[in-house]
Amino acid sequence: MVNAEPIKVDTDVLILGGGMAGCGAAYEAAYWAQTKGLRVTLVEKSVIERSGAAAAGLSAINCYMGTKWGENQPEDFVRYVRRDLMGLCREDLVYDIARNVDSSVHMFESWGLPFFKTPEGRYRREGRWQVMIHGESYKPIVAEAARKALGTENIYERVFISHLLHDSFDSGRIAGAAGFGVRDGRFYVFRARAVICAAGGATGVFRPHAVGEGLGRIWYAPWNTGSTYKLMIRAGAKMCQFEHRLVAPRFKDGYGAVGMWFLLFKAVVKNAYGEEVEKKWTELLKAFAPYGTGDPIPTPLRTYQLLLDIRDGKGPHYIRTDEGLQQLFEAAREDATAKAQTESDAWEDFLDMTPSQALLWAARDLNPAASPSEIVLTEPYLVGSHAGASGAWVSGPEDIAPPEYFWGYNRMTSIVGLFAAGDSVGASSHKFSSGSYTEGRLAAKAAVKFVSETGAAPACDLAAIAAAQSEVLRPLAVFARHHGATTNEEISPDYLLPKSALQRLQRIMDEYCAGVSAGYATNAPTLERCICLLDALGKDLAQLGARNYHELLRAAEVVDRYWCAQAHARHLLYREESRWPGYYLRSDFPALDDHRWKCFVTSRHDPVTAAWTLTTQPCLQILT
Amino acid sequence: MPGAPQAACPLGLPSHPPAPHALRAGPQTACHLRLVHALLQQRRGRQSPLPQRREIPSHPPPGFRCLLRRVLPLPGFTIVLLESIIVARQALCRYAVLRWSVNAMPAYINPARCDACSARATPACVHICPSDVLHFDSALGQPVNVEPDQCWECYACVKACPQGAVQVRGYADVIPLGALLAPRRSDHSIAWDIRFRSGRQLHLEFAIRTTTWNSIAPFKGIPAPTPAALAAPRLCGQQHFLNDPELPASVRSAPSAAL
Repeated sequence: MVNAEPIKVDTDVLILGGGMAGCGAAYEAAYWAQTKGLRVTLVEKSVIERSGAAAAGLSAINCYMGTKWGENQPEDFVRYVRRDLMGLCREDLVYDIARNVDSSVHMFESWGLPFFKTPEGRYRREGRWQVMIHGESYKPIVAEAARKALGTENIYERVFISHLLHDSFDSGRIAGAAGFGVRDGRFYVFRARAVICAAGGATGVFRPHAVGEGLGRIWYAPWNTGSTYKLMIRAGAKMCQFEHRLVAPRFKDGYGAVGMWFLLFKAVVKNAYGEEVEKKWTELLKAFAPYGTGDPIPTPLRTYQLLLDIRDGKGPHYIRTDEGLQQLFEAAREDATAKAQTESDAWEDFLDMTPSQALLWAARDLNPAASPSEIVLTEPYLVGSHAGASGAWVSGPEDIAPPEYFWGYNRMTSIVGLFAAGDSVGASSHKFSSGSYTEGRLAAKAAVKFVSETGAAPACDLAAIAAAQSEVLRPLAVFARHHGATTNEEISPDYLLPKSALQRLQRIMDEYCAGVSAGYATNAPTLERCICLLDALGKDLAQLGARNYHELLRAAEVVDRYWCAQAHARHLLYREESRWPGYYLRSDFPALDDHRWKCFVTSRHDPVTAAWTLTTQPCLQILT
Repeated sequence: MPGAPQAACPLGLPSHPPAPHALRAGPQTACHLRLVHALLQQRRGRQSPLPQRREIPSHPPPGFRCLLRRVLPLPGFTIVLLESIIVARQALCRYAVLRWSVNAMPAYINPARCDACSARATPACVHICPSDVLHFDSALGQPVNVEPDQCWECYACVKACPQGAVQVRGYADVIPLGALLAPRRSDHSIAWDIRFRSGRQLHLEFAIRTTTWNSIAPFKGIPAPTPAALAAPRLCGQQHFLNDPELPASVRSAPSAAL
């Protein structure tokens, strides 16, 4: 199978990943492609009805302006995001999402997604930007629209994309992508005139809290392995803000989200001695002015308050669901229906999104209205759509972006014809599901425009295709060659199984790159050591072994995470300040330094020389 | 099985079975060892008497379960056992081994209920799993969670199973035993039966969709695209869906380097 003839697919616009951003791209690309009769193809390593981070559903849409009702203007949202990112925000990109996102949300409702409504018929608000949905089937509904728009025959599922392909005459121009069928090992080559990367953020780069089966119960989907970042990094695209990771407070063990509890149920976090963490650590916010002052407190500072209280030895920390709900019950007084509805809403929040958290409550006989739940800080994640900001450095929209941020087509990366959306785009966070979907639409429209305005299709280099095939299928060959030399297949001097490689990666990152066990702190010498250990692991990745196609998938995913780790460690080392103290602390540069570092950090890995180049980009303020 | 994995049976077999001393000694271990030994012998075409049904305990000893779980990501050992079982056609042993192995994973298949979706090309749970941890085991004839620690407990498989054969046993290192979430998804709603460890029951039902499945007409009512519209910033159908004839005003102003 390793040397079998590849399956070749020719298309015009190729979408990598069928999550929220990918489904948005599919919908929009299919519409505009009609003008020129262009072909649009989507590749997904799972099946789009339940792929990506919204697989279990969602209980809220966290990015909705409500301009229709005058609730917010896009400008308000940009100012909010800018502050939450501690000043470093591509305002052109965020504005572009904000002005378009409501149309996506209205479209979801027209397709059949149920919303909570107020008596006046407005969407019921959970917070200023969040609206509540009955979202168990959010993803299947969105997938149905994408499948119908594109045609099932143009969706390749259970295919993992491992490589982007360059034009054989121009290494700065994209020509397609390649990968393998995760259940049959067949090698696929997709030749395309434009490619949209929309394959989610990166989990599992750091060691999780769990030790056994629970390794899978992390906050963000474990199948989001950083493919999208790896593809772009290895292709030589310019990446940005890879230091701007995310660490978030979550319900302990079940990783249930806290948003609805904070915003709607008004639950607060208290330590074991009854002190309210946010009030106790108010003073420290002043050191982070102008971002720390005002309301709401930026996510990395809220996280920092909890981190300091944990370090202060005042745990366990609890989210007081009991107090929050009791206050609501009191407000409802004798209205039994209202009380029952509140309790139902509380359970639905998790059942719609994180059923495992509801299972944990049931297993502990916990009634959230009577007992609080423990809260914990997660391991770090690399995401571009939530409150982290890692991703590609992309062009902004033509009518908004200043010249420094504009090069031809909206959401195009530094590689011609390569676009990005959702978690794949950096420095423009708080998109969540609806914003990622919208960004997929923006990227897709720009990609169709790009294809319709450019000439001949690029040519893929046959040698590069052969090299990609040999590289990605190598773990099967490595195992086949060596497996007989040991009585225990898990112990071999000749190959490394994917699980072992992942454990080594996670341990390096945890200990040296400001992981949980390091208290989220690191410094330059530790990071240099980290990169040294990562480089050694990188050499061993050439000896990954896979006993079957499933392990071949896991092997490829370790490679994804490895490249994310390399970029992350190098970015942490480059930025000599601690701008997001709840996410990580540079103990050698413990303060926020606006004078030197109010700028973006971009990196590029040269595919030919293998050298990393890091530099800064100006942070331009567009809105006052 | 030397060489590369075969398409028909992608789960590679280990070259050797686990050593018997890997099993923790216990009062019931001898019977399990006899079972393993007998199955391996039968696989090699040798006659070996299987233990009597009454000798096989209803639960495996802890060591046996750990071993199964440890080898499940490389399901070879299980396959060795199960292939042998099929060869032996000893339903009682098959039943016993299945009973033990289903206890060892977050999302798991109840073999008594699972018909492997015989009317479909792929069992629904195997088709839908986003993490690709549910695999059809051709020797067993049923799906198996081959990598429990990469299961997100997203319940996609539980919701998809037409037989109600898929359930989640919470992560062993995190979640106490004894609770159950049983979702039943219909066209417009999902009903959750929540069983607490104490035995308390909670029944909740939520809407999931206001329209008929497969009713979306993606571009219905939206004018066909034009080259001029492709050049403009507005997205597909935006005029219709934004309920606003114009995009919000552009914010272009003289950009200034911050600070």
